[in-house]
Amino acid sequence: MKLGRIITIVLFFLLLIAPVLQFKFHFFKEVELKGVELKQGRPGWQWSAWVKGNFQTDFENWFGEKIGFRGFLVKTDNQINFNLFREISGSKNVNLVLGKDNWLYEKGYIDSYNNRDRVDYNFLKKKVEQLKLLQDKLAEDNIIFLLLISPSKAAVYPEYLPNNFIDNLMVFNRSNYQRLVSLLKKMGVNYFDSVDYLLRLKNNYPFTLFVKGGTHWSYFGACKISSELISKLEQVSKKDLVNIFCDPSSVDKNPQGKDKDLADLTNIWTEKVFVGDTAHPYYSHNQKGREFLPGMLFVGDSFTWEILEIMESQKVYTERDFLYYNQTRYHYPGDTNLPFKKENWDWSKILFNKNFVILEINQSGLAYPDFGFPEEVLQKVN
Amino acid sequence: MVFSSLFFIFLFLPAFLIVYYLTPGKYKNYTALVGSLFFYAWGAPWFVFILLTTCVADYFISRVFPNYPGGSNRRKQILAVAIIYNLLLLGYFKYTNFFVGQINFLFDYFGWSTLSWNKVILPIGISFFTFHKVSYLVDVYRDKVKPATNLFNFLLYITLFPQLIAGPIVRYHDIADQLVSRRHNLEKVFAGILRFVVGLSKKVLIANVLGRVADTVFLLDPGNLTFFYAWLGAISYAFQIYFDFSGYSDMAIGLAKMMGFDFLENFNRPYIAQSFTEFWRRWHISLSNFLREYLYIPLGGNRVVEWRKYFNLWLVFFVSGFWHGANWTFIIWGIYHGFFVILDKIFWLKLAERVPKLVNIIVTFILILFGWVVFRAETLSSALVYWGRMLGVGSGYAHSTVLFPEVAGFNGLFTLVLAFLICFLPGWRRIEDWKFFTVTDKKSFLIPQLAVSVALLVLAILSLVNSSFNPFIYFRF
Repeated sequence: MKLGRIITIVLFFLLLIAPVLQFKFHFFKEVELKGVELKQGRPGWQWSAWVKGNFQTDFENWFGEKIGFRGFLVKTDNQINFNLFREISGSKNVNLVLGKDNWLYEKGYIDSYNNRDRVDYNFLKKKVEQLKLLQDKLAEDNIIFLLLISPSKAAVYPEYLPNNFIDNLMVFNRSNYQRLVSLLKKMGVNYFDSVDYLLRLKNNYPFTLFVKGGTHWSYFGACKISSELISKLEQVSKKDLVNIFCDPSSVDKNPQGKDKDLADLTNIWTEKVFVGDTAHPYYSHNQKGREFLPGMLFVGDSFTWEILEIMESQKVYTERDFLYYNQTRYHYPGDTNLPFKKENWDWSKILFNKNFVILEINQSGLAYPDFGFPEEVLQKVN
Repeated sequence: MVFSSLFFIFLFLPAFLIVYYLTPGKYKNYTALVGSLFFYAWGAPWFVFILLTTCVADYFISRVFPNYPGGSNRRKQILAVAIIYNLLLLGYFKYTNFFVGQINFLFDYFGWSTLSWNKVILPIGISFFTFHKVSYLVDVYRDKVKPATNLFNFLLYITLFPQLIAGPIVRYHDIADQLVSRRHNLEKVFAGILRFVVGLSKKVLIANVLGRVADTVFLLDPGNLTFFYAWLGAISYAFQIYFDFSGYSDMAIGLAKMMGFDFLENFNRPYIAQSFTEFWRRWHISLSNFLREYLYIPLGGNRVVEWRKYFNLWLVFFVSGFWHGANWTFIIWGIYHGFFVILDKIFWLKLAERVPKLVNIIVTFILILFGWVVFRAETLSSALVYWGRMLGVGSGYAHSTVLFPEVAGFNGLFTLVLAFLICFLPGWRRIEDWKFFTVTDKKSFLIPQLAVSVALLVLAILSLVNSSFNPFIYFRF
């Protein structure tokens, strides 16, 4: 009995001090956690910070990040929640929902699918009018404008959504996306509806166009979109551009790049359950269109990255700027990975030296549809 | 610093316990005092000086009492001064913002210019240690105990970190002897560890989970607050507050035991109470004891005429409500409970004897739920709307646009069922009954005790560490 109590006491102390000892002496290799965390640096002690309580808060946050065995403990807790409750507890900033057959969705896309993000018709109308104005203004400088509507995973693959997350009374209402497309048609704005395109494409290929464990379209889906986007630009500009081809594809269970960004965020031990058959296309292009290699400006969110990667691999353009959320600028060629902050932007080098401007917005992001880009440019030109 | 923080569990607690156990017996109080002051200063870095100053004043005041005979006017006056300045301190820090707010509301109503006021910051634990000081002063005044033998022992009584921030309210006469002399042995440390682990688990694994459910429901706009969600939220909150508060008390009792102190129990399965009177013998027992001994009995208690007895009860519950927080919701909650306790005295207890036990429990629990809604609500008007939803009254949407998994996933549901079983089923008494978790001579209990305790501690640690990790997918800009 006494021995049992001594063992308990020793075990208790060991459990309490093990993380600090691990932090100090690194007895074991730490398990890496995935996802971007806003780190708290080790705070230096200052009397004023102590009196205000800031030092204590910062120290506790720093201590929580640095504690030993953190990766192991986090992954184990997430695994328990996944196995016991079929819930993804790994991410609080990005709300993840576990669908059928272990498909992962961001909650925001499901909310949009349920028409939770419905905006006023006049709001959408005003936005489309602005796009038309922008299109016309840019046309005066021989710059072609095109709106790319990127799809949400929930809209393209609703069959994997968990039933208890579908609001059957709201889901059949007319969505922001449907109203936007009507307005774009009506007002004559150049657009490429990749939602409709992928839904039509879905049944023609055995590969998924979105990745099971990712939030974005698969590389195969992105390749088909890129190819079709170029066709649209050719139609609007009446110019020959380099055409991209996406077949044949290899299929494997080796996700690449952003293929498993959501799966990574789950931070569980068995994240392979989120990996399905993924098609990796072999990109190729034709030789026509080489006489005219345009400069392109892209404005958009993270859906744009794959398109840029594919187009650059096939040298579709000579120069490209990407305004990521219209906040950070990435330039190609040269400074591809160096972001430029907004205060240093020179619009004559970003916009007015380009042949095409593509604004990419996601069908789930129509409450905040254009990152303020049209308004900003129109102010500059007026 | 809270008991369920990573900093406390992995840094402060082991460091403190190691130093404490290594300290020779006669100096242990000093170690405990230094640790407690550091604990408090960590959360209230400047108020610790005010706390120490007032404690020193209380100590020296208490030493004056023996100079005057018991019952003398001078003695009463000294006690009155001491209690008043302690209550004034509590009143200033805790209630000034509330009173200024009420005055400004009236001024605004009459179109007068309002008072400009820099909000007073509430020092942590002030409600509890003020009561501890009152308990000490009154006990010495009544000659129930002698004044503390030295200043450091008295400071330790007030600042002892297990009970400093959130109780239990330890009356001085319950602990006076232990401050001077207490046993440190393996059984106590073992029992303290088990108790701490159970408390931590209740807080982290049950209260925190149900807290998320309750928070989600109470944030719903009235249109989405359906009858079902309203009851779900109220029940979740009832369990949240019980497991949170009782869990914290368990941790306090466990920590104190590790230091050789024996605190009295603070909760005893309150939701199986068959009346409000019984509820208050099971819920926050230390507060009931304090209010009975230091307020109700000095007011005359039961030894007065009927109407005065009911008034005394009403006043005690009014004070109880107000003590819980500076908001009308807490006051109304207190009055609500006082109303039902008075009803008990008038007729309910007699009536309840003729009603099946189960019916009494259900009725009492439902009425307590309605009280918790007021306690939890931000304003009285939102509480009334919530009550309406619970009664199926009021125009909410026929169909809520909030889906059930967004309110309570499987984890929430599982935890709710678990909480219900622990609180209500007779067989579960053995789980929560401290006979199971305290030191036992039965060898057959030891291995299950160890296994369950280790499992609970590990699960609680897993959950706590995970809650500190909040990643994004990508950098946005």
